[in-house]
Amino acid sequence: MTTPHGEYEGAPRRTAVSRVVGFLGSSIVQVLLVCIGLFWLMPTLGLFVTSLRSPQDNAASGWWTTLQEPAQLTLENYASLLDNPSFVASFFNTILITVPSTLIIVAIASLAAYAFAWLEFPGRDWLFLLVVGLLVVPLQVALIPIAQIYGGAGIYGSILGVVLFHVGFGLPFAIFLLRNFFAAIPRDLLEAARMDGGKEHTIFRRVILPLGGPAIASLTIFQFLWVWNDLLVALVFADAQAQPMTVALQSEMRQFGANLDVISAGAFLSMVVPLVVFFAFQRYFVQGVMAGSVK
Amino acid sequence: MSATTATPPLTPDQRRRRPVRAGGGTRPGQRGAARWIIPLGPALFLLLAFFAGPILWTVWASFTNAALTGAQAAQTEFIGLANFERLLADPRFASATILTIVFLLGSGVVGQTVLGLTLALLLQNRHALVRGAVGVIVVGAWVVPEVVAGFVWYAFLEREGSLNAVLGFGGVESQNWLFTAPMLAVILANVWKGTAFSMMTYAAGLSEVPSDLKEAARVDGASGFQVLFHVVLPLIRRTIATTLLLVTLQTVQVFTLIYVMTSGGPGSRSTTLPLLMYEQALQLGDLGYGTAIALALLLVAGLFSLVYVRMLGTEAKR
Repeated sequence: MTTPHGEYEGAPRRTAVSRVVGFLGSSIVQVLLVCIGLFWLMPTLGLFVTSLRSPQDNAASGWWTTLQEPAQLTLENYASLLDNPSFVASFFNTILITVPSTLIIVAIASLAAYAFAWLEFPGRDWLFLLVVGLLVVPLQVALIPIAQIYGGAGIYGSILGVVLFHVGFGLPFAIFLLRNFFAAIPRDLLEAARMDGGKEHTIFRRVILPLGGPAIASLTIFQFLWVWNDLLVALVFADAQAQPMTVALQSEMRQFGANLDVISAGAFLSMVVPLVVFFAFQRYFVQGVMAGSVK
Repeated sequence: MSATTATPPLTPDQRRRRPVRAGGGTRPGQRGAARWIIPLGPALFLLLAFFAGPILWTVWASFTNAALTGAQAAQTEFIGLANFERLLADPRFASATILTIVFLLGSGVVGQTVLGLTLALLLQNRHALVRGAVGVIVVGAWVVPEVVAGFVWYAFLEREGSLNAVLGFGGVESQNWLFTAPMLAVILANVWKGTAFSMMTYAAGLSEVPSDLKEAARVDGASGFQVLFHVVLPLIRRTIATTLLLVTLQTVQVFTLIYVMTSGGPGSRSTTLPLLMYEQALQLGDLGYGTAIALALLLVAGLFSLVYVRMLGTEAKR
C-alpha cells in the first residue's frame, strides 16, 4: 500500500531503502492479518463443515478429510433438524422472546433518555448517575430474588417473565447509550419546536426520534443480540414450553458425541439471524456506540 | 428550523451548563411534575423492580439461611455473618475469586484490549477489501451466540478436535486441551469471541485522531511507536477507558461460555464466581450462600469500575 498514510509502520523519510522497508513492512502486516483471519475462522469453519456431513462420516473421521472427498457434503442434518418439532418450537420461542424485549426497551428507554437529557426536574443528574451506576450490578445478583417474585406473581417459567427480565436488566445501558446521544442534539432544534408551540410528545416524535436514529439503531442491535444469544436468563426463568434455541442447544450438548449432527446444524441456524441483523445495521452501530462513549 | 443558523455552535459543556429554561421560559402548559414523570415512569418502575428490590433482598438474604427446598425453605432464619464467614473460609470461593480476576485480566483487559487495538491499528488505511474481510470474520465471532461459541471451542480443543489434528502434523501428542489447560482454553475462547467489540470502538476512536498531528510528530522525527504512544493513545484515552469499562462489566459476568466448555472443571479449575454462584444457589439450592457469592461478584465489578472512572476523572482535570 502506498497511500499517503501507508508509511505508518515504515520510516519517515522516503528514500529508496525506506520505501522497500515500508513495502516489506506492509506485506508483513498483510500476511499477519491473513493469519489472524484464518485463526479466527478455523473453529467456526470446522463446525460448519461438520454440520454438512452425515453422522456416520463424522463418527468415522475428522471434518478436515472433507477437503479430499467433497462428495461427503450433505444437507440431511438441516433437513432432519427442521423436522424436529421441539427444535422448531424453540426457534419460535426465541423470536417471541427477542422481538418484544427489543421493542419494549427501545420505547421505554428512549422516553426516559429524553427526560434525562432535555426535561428539568429535581435531582435529575443525581438520578441519572445512579442509573449509570447500576451498570456495575451483575445479572447474577438479581436471578434469585426475581425468580421468587415471579413465583409469587405466577409468571415463573413463562415467556413473559423472560422478556420482562431482559427489559429490566437492559435498561441502565439503554438509558446511558440513548441519553448521551440525545443530549448532543442541537438545543436550537428543540427550542424552535417549543417556540412553535409543540407539546413535549410532539417534540419527542418529530425531533428526538428522527435525530436519535443512530443511537436507537445501535441499541436495537445490542439488545437484539444480547437477548437472542442469552442462555443464563432463559435457563433460570423459562420452562420446557418456553425454552429458546440456546437452551435447546445446550441440553443437546450435554449428551455430546451422540448428536453432533443436530448440534452443529442447530448452532448454524441460530447464528444466521443475528449475523443478518448485525450486518444490516452495522453502519449505525459504531456511530451510536461511540456517541455513548465519547462523552 | 432556520433559527438554527443564527447561533454559533456550542460545545457540549456550554450546552449542559445553560439552564434548560433559558430559551423557552414562556412555554405554555407546564404541568409541573407530570411532564417528566410520564416519560420516566415506566423506566423507574422497572428499575425499582429489577434492581432496587432485588439488591435489597440479596443483601438481606445473604444474612439468612434461605434455601430453595427443605425445612429451611419454609422457615428462613437470620444467621448473621455466617454466610460470609463460610465464604472466607471456603477454599473454592478463594480460588473462584482468583480465577474470575485471571479471566477478567487475561481475556478482557489484556487479550481483547491489546488484540482489539492492534487489529484496529493494523486495519487502519488498509485496502477496503482486507478491512472488510477481516472485519466480517472477527465481528462474526462476536455476533455468534455464546452457547455456539462455547461449543465451537469445545469441538476445536477436545481430544478428537481440529487443534489436535493440526498439532498432530508437528508430532504433538493428542490430548484434551480443556483438561490440560482449562483456564487458558476459556480465556482464548473469550478473546476470540469478544475482541470485535474493542476493535470496533478503537477503530472509531482512531479515525477521529487528526492525521496532521501524527504528521507533525513524524516531521519532528518521532518513530512509529513514539507517535503511537505519545500522540495517538493519549488522544483516545477516553475511548480506551470507556471500552475497558464496558468490556470489564461484560467479562466479569461471563457464565455461558465457561459453562458450555468446561462446566467449571476439571474439578474446580475453571470455576469462576458466576459458575460457583449458579452451582450453589440454583443447583444445590443454597440461596443464602449463593447471594453472598453474587455480592462478592458485585464487589469485583465495582472495584474495577472505580479504576476506570478514576482514569476518566484524571483526564478531565488535564
